[in-house]
Amino acid sequence: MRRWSLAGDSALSFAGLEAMSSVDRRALAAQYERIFEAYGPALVRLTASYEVLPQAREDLLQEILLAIWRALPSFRGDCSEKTFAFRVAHNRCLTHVWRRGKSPESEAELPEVPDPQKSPETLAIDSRRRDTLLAAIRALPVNYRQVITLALEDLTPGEIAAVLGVTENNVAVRLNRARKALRSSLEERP
Amino acid sequence: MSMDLELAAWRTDWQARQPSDTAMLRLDLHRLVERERRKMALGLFGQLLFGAVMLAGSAWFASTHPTLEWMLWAAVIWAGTFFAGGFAVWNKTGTWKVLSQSNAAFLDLSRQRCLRELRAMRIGRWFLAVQLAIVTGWLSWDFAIHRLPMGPYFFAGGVTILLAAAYLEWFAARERRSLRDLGRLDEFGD
Repeated sequence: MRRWSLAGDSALSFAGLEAMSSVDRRALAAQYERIFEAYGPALVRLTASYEVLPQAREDLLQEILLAIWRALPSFRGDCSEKTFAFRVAHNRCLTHVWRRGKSPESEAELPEVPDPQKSPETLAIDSRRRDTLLAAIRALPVNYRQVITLALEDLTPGEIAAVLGVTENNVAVRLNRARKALRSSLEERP
Repeated sequence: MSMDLELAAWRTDWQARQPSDTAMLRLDLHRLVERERRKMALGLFGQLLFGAVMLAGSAWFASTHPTLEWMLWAAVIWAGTFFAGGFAVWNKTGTWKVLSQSNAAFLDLSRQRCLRELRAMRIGRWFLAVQLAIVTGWLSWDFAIHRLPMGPYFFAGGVTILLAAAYLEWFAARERRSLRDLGRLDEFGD
């Protein structure tokens, strides 16, 4: 007997739980696993560009994972899984920015896996350069940040346009401006 | 540096950031349940605060207008507020803490919370109907006695009731969707 059932409650059948077979649910779970296998690290980097605080960043990531899980049954394959995952993630990130308001100034490191082939000095220099890049991206206006993070994740202009719901021309213009802004921001940083 | 080389260099630095712990790429049910608990606590606090304002406001109004009509109104508001507040607290009992640290227990707790919210929505509909009956009866009597134009008051009341009903339905639909999502999460198991 299900411990969580309330006597006389028809909510479960009303919610359509019986409508989805266990085969369908397993297929969805497999699709979900595949998406996170392929794009999980990119989603972690995406959250890092929108949230500085580690705790809030992990919450944002969980929100994205749940949002993708929720949106998956309505995904009809009219775009690639990559576009789908990034579209959902970007929408969650925008909601997060809107709710949070001004971003805190302090920065926290994004975990990374050190390359054993490199010397500690090289690793330190690389790490510092990556931190600077991340900080400069975080400082960009949201509309520039969106295109630059997607471009850095190897999305084509067409895919970026599909994620953001804008034209490819618009993406090209925004990307060009975002690069200029990022370049000047990096030059200003020590 | 050419534009393409610059973007490629940024891309290399950006993608060098990999999550060191792949566990963070899994839906963390514990985290979701804990966030829900904080939202629940905040929601309940808001409801009780609103109730306290209603109690204090009606008591103050009745003490400054000591007629039978306003005393009766204050009594109705007090009864309604105590009922709603008591129900809100009672309805959440047993849904604050998880019984064990397993995924199944977290899922059960989340379902239990959804079912309780759906129960609250059902009670809310009845409560709204009772309020509607009382307000309509009182307004009809009051306006008949004082020969006042009823149109604007009934219009404002009607709009308020419609908004409240729409909110209840929206909230119930959201909870049913959550319940359906939780059903699909069963595939992840422990």
